[in-house]
Amino acid sequence: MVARDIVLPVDPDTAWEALTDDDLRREWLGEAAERETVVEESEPGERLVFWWWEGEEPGSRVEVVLTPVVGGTRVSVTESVTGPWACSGFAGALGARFANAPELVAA
Amino acid sequence: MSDAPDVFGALADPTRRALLERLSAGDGATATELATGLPITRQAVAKHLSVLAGAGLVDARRQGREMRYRPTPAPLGDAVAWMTGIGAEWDERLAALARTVQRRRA
Repeated sequence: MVARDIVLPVDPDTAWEALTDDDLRREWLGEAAERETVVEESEPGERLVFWWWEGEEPGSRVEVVLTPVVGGTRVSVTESVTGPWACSGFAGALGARFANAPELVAA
Repeated sequence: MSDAPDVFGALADPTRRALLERLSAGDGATATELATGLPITRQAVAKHLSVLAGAGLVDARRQGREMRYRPTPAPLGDAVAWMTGIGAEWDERLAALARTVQRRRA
């Protein structure tokens, strides 16, 4: 699972348009705009959840949440891959993060 | 990810994270081997390993009277590379999204 976010200096409806309009999507997504995409949830101005597939790769789920903030809208994106691979991968990434400070306590 | 709650629970414990990290370093280990040199009992290690196995983070094979544990067979390097790659992709996309929005404001 990967999370990134950015604050756009516009209101949520404008941000939503930039996220979902076909032509605008092509501008900022580039090639990824052509992927097979299925929308799971759509709450205009608030939340978009979709799945997409790149060629033969396993699909991933992308969740986009819009939050009004001072000065604009925060766009928070989370992409996750499903399946046992993903769980081990997540564990591996966490393991790597904590590798330098393992704390051992008696169970 | 429907499995995510188990993984989060399993990794919430620092001892379990440390055990998983130790397992990743070698060719797997038994509970006895893992407990050696650590301030926890073999039984405590076995209990932790059982939780990790339940979350799909380790698998186990019988070795004599003990179980030998290994991290589940997903190359950890690949997974970290995936996360890094996807993170970089989204950094680019969001920067491009900001530029798209700025262009339309002008």
